[in-house]
Amino acid sequence: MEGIVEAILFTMGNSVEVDKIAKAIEQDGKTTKEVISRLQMKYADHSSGIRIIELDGAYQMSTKPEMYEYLIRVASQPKRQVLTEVLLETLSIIAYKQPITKVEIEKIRGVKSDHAVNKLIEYELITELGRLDAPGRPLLFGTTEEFLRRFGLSSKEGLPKINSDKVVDFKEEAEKEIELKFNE
Amino acid sequence: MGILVKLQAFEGPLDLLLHLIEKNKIDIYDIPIVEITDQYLEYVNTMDKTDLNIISEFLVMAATLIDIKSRMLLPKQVDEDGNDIDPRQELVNKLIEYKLYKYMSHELADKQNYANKALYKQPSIPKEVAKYEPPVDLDKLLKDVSLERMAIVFESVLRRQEDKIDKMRAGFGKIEKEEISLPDKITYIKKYAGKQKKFSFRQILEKQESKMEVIVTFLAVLELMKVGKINIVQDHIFDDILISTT
Repeated sequence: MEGIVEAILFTMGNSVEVDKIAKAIEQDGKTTKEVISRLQMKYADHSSGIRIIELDGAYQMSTKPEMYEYLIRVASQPKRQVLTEVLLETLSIIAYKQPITKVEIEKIRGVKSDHAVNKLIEYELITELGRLDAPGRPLLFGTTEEFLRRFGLSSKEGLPKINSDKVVDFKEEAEKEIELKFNE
Repeated sequence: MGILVKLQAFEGPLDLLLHLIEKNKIDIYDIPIVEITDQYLEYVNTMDKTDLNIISEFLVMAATLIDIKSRMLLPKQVDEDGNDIDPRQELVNKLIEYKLYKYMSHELADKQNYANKALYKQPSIPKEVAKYEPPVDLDKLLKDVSLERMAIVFESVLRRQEDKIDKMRAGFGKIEKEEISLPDKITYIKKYAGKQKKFSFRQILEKQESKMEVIVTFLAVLELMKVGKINIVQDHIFDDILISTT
C-alpha cells in the first residue's frame, strides 16, 4: 500500500486530499494516515532525497530543503522571492487573526493596506473567505494552502505561538539597557 | 532625548512611534507623551509632503498624540469600576499589538527560508486520464426532480424577474431622439428661398407636415433673420409676412 501512495503522490505532483488517497487504497482515513506516516518515516530514516508534507489534511511529495544546493547544480532554480517586511507583517496579521477584514488589518498596522493585500492575493498566499455579516458586507481574508507550503507549516495550528510574555521580554530588555547606561 | 536625524522611511505612524520608543529606551507602559509628541512632530515635519495619502496617516497620529497630551493635563477620567482611565492606554495597546505582529512576522520569515528550498513536481497524469469524468447517471441525477418541482422553481424565477422591474418607473415613456433638426430646416429654407426669391411665411408653414416641423421651421426663419440671410417684411399689422433673400 505504501507503494500505491508513493505512486499517487508522485504522479499527482500537487497536494492530494487524504480521502482521495484512502479511496484509492480502499482503506479508511485512519489507516491511510498510518500508511502515509510510515512512508514519511521511511523517507526520514533512509537519507532519502524526498519527503511527504502535510497541508491541512492533504499530502504532497517534495524534495527535502537540504537537497536544494545540489539541485541547483543540475538545473538552476530562480531564487524564490522572499517577501518584504510590509507583506510579511500584513501576512502574519492575517494568518493569526483570520478571517479578518481589510479595515481590521489597517487598524492594527495603522496604515492603508490595499497594496499589501493585493500583492498577497497575487502571490496566492491569501484568499477571500467570504463576507462579514455587517454593513457594507466587507470581504474576509485568510491564508491558503500555498501559504502553508511556503512557510513549512502542516496546518494553521502550526503557526508559532503568540506569546504575550514576549512583550514583557521587550520591556525587560529595554530596562536592562537603561540600567547599563546608568552604570557607565 | 536627542533629535532624530535618521532619514529612514517608516511604513506608518505606528512604525515611527515604535522606533522612537525603542531609540529612546522608553518604557512602553509609561510613555513620556510630551517628548514623544515633540520628536514625532519634528520627524513628520521633515517628511516628504508630496504623497498626501502617506502624510495624512502620519498627521492623524500627530493629532492623536496632541490630543492625548492635552488629556494628560486634565484630571483623570474614571471608568465604571472607579479606575482611572489613562489617556495613553489605547495608544499603548495599539503599539503593543502592532509590535507583536511585527515580531511574529520575523518568526514566520525564518520559516520561509527553509521551506522555500523544497521543490515540487508538476502533475504527470496522461491527458486521457486527467480528462476522464465518470459517465453521468441520468436516473440518479434526476431522481428527485418531478414536474411539480420544476413548475415551482420556474414560477419563483418568473417572480424574481417581475420583482426586479420597478413598475412605476418602467411605465415612463422613452426619450426619443428629435427627428427634425434645426440645421436641416435652415438648409431647407435657404434652398426654398433661393428658388422662390420671395415667399409667404404662412405658405411655408402650411407646407409642414407636423407640429414639430412647424415649430422648427419657425425657429429656422428666426435664425436666418438673426444672421441676416433673409429679409422679413409685413405691410400691415396682422398681414402675412413676406420673406425674401438678401
